[in-house]
Amino acid sequence: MNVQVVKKICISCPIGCHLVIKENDSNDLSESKYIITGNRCAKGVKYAEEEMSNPTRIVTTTIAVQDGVVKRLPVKSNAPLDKSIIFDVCIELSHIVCRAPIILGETVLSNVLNSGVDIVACRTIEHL
Amino acid sequence: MYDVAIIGAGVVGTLIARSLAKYELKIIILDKENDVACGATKANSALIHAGYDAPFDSLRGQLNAKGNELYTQLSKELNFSFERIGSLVLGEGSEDYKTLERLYENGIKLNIPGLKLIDREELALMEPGVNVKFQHALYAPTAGITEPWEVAIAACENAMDNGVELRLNYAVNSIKKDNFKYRINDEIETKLVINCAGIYADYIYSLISPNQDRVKLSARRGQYYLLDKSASNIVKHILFTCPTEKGKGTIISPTAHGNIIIGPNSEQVQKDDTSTTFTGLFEVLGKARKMISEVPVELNIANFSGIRAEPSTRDFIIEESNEKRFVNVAGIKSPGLSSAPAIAEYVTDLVLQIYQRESWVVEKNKVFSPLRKARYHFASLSSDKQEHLIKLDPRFAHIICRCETISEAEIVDAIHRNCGAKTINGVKRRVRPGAGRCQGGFCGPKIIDILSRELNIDRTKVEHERGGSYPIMKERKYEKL
Amino acid sequence: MKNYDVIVIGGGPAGLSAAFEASKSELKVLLIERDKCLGGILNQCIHTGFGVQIFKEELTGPEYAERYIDLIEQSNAEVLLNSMVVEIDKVDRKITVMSEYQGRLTFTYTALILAMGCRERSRGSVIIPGTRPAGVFTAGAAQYYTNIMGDKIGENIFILGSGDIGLIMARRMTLEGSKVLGVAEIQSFSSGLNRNIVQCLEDFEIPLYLNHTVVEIHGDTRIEGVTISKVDENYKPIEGTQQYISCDTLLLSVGLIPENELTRAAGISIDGKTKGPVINQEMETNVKGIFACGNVAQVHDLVDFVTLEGARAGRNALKYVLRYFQNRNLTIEKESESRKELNQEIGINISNQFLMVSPQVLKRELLDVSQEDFQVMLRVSNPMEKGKIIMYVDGVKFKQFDKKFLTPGESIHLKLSLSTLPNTANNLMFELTEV
Repeated sequence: MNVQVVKKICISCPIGCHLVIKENDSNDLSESKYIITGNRCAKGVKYAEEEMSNPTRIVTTTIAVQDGVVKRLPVKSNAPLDKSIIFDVCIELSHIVCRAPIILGETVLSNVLNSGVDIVACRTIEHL
Repeated sequence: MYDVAIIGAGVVGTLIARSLAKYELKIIILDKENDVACGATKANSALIHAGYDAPFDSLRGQLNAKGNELYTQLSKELNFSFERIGSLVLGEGSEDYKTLERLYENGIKLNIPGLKLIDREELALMEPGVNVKFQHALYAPTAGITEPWEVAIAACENAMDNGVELRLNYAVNSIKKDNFKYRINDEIETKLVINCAGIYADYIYSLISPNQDRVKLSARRGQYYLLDKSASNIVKHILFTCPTEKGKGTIISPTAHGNIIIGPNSEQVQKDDTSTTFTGLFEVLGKARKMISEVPVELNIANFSGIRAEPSTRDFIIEESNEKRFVNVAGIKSPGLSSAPAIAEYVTDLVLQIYQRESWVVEKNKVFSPLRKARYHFASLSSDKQEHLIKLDPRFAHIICRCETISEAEIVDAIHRNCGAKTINGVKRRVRPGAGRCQGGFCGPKIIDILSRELNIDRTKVEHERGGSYPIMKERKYEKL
Repeated sequence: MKNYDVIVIGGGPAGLSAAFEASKSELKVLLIERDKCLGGILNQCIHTGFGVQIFKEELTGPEYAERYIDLIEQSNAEVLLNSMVVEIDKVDRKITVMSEYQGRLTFTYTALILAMGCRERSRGSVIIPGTRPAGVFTAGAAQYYTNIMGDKIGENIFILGSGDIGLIMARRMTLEGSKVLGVAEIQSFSSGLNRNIVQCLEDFEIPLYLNHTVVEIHGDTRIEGVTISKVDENYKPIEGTQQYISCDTLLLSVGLIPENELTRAAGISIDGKTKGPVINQEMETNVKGIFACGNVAQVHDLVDFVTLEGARAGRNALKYVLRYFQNRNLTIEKESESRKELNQEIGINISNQFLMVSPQVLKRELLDVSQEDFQVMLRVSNPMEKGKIIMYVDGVKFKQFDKKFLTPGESIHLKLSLSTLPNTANNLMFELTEV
């Protein structure tokens, strides 16, 4: 039987481990679906499994600020989003305006595109 | 109705305008670009030749010698930087030595001061870095360095202070003659036209004289390197390779602001082709490396090229043309910048002669002021003066460009003077933010904000250089809450 | 003229951390920042990936900065914003500052910490022929326009250089609705982090042209296109491999250089490899009492290392000030004399398989003996799957470190202890061989 081997670079942290992901050909269902090597920590295993099934990414962008000391508010998704909706999320956020003051961590948009994920402020912005 | 319309706001056109402003004349300068000094004036070797090179019996030779002399006073009146650091033409073997002797003799005939043929020993004392193979040099102590665009900007500002008008973004596409007046683009009427249109002077002359074969220009391009100030110790004088048929050779020289300039080569190109090429730049570097072996090219901060207008006559064409009261000032190739102040006097005489011939009266302008206010150069002032200026205008303490230490007040001043800056590079040429090692990486956005605020235009309408060169495409606008 | 014990120049991650460490005392500390807010370049780095080493979580640049800004606000350090240091007078221990709202100021210091960061290499430093139209930006400038000003700077974008900022901007511009046509890298490998190649290029199917560079810029007013070409091993364009790419924007991500004009003007020695001041393990320059940290000392791969370096500089500046006051009764001459004797230094050298090493010298007499453990940071010249780093002391092999996945984009940190070095040591040498 052909065992599929996939090489991926882990993006969980800046180290960027070179992962080798092999399909587990064992019939024992209690074992995991893949055999992962090359990782330096447990995040590598999690990343590899997700990447094989349902890849996700944290999204960061900026949104407009009114009356703030700066013009743009950096924001991020507070959890990874499905890769497939990233562009739609960015378009959605391009229409949003926030009024200063803004506190770091504040939710600026909850449940973006019904993903269950919130968009949160990454910076405190004082009122002008 | 104008008395004089000058087409072309390069160093020649603006200095002529300023010289004519000493008389009661209504003068306008027209230029197709969005700023003055956008042609050959902004991209050349930035030096004032001593004047030994061009033949003693040519207009170029005589005007260069005179022009060099005039720079001392002109730089004081117009407050631009000019320093006679001296030039050295380097000679290798006996052939070169003959050339140096020929130059020396030509220079003596033109009364160029202080010319001296020197030997290796003296050369090594003056320029320790020069390659040992150079055994001789022609030393010319009166050669100097300046900022060519600032000469034109200062001349134009001073001309405007004395009543001259400037119209930019104004391309001349038709000139018609109507008795004793010319009509430009069917709207500007003038008694005299002075054609200083640089590389396009042939086109401008053809507008009034379609079959002319007097002004025929080809474009010669020269490419350059500009090195960071930290390379400034490599040479103290203007170094030339020995001249050949093609031109005065390649130079390595300090600039007026302590950078090092290297160039040019000489290539025949299309008139508007001011691009640089690998081939051209390598050629220049190769020549420079022959002069001094250690050229710190890793300290390069910018490359550029400039176009010189090569006339078929091989000499400057400065004359009233076959069309009466239409004066051509064309084919102003090297040493054009060096000759420019003398060209301005020459053309002024020509205009006065025409006035006399036509029995028109022209009075001296009794309120003419030759002085143009100096720029601030805040960073180089004493602490007392700095504190005084900050009291007058707190924006002096707001440093915008850290490479060159330029304050907001200096930039605002450069925008609001006569002949003020309207583009990012216009600001850079006047007061130097963006001319340093980071090339505007940090201050670029701030300059855009200042231009937008002071000129009351949208940030997306601020131009980088030529008309339409917008760095910002769109501001992400949004509805207010 | 106001007096401070410690003055920190630059309110980015290095300066924030240095000022915070120095302020853990009764000393008077001043932090000077040219922008209107603290945080430096982190404010425009809105992507995640900061803080993995220190906080064990992935923060965005602004979040990371805010943690330290909060610490500074709670500390007794003073902050001076909108102010640019224009001169350091190392003899009188005095600096001159231009302050947007307070005018020309001068301050004296006992210890000074340089934390001015770095700047980007521009078009001139890589020599790209062609015309000079609008639309050519350094990647960091493009990041500023996009993330701070909210400007759209281009529709169809090409990027030269695959350093991290170039990669990050490829994704950023894509998410902003622009089309990124490709990234050219003159080397045979990217100097950016692996993860950024994955999440910034591969995720968006942006081609990476290795061994390629831009050989010509086209366009009169706004850039209209670039010609790219394959290069040989000497980075010379290969004839016949040129291709034209139509674009309205070119971003340059061609390297960073420590910003040391103030440093140079003050007569502080600069290391030829890092382009930052020559520093010892306490982050002190060759001028006593002047320390340097973060990207002004050498360009780092991770902000966490910048923070740690800032903290080290801050701690040592503090120790320096305390000792300076203890020795106050000594005349200046005497102090410098005794320092001279104590200033026995061990040089650190590298073979040409390394791009740089930091620190470049080791000081035997420490401000604080508890700091005798130190770190040597190295960067390799070329990628290497597996390598061994051999450390020589005065020409004799002393220690070996085995390393995997070495790349120029990632720094190597070796832990060493001063006490394990022989007393006679006066030279360390690091060499690298492929396994």
